[in-house]
Amino acid sequence: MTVHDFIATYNEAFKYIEAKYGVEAVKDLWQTISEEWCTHLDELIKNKGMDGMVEYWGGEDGTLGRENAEYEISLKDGVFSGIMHECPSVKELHERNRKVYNGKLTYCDNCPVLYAPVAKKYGIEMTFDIEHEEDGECTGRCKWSAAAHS
Amino acid sequence: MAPIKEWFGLYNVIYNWFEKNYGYEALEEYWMFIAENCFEDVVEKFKDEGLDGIRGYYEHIFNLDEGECKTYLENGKLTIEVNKCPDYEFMKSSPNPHFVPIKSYCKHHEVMNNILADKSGHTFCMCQCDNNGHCKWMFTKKEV
Repeated sequence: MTVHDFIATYNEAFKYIEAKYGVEAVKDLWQTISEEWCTHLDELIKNKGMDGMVEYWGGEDGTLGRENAEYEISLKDGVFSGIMHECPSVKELHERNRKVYNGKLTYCDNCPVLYAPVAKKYGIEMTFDIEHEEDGECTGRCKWSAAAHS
Repeated sequence: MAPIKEWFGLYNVIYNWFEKNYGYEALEEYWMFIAENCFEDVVEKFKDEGLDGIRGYYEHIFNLDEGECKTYLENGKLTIEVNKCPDYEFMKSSPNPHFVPIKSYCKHHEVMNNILADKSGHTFCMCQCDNNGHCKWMFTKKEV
């Protein structure tokens, strides 16, 4: 499959897995992705700490820039924080008339499960504040922050 | 939204998760579900434009993904020779051990293209595949 269809198929996979195998299976997939796919983030945090997080998401070759996200990030006084004004994944799903996964979990719940455990390995606590509509659907807006665990 | 190449590796991780936890048949069922539910616009294009449309679609996709393929359309058969699979190119370039393509990775093209072809009035054959980034596909119009 082409990566141009990835987000649409990723979204449908969550619905499919929850329906067929249950929500714990969705969480298990996300945990597996965190362990097996987030290795580049892992390496950056291991070697550069929170500077590595900035580089992963917001650097010259960072993922959010390459995905054309509308976002802000900063690293100040030991706190790495970010604001997602328009998540490129949610935007794409809307543009392609796809119903965003909204079951026992939601599409946007995948990010904390993927990324927070990687940071935690290195003593960094990462939290997400995800906005949802009244019906529980992701808005595509969220905030996150990360700081060394005290 | 602009896709990122790392998602090729993520496909592999997801496929491996299905196969490891639920078996190969479950992985194939998942591919069938995706083909049935995520490519309505592609099926319509194939229906409307026939083999020319299929050729144009794959030439465009391979170009976008920085792969390489040669296409031949003659005597009612469309042959697509994949000389540089973008999935394999990315995964082979990565040090991540979980990006080593699973043995059944290439099967997803066969399973999914079979469905897209069938739904649009065509047949599909994965005529050759070396499981290393080179393969040959063939589409024909189904006889009524």
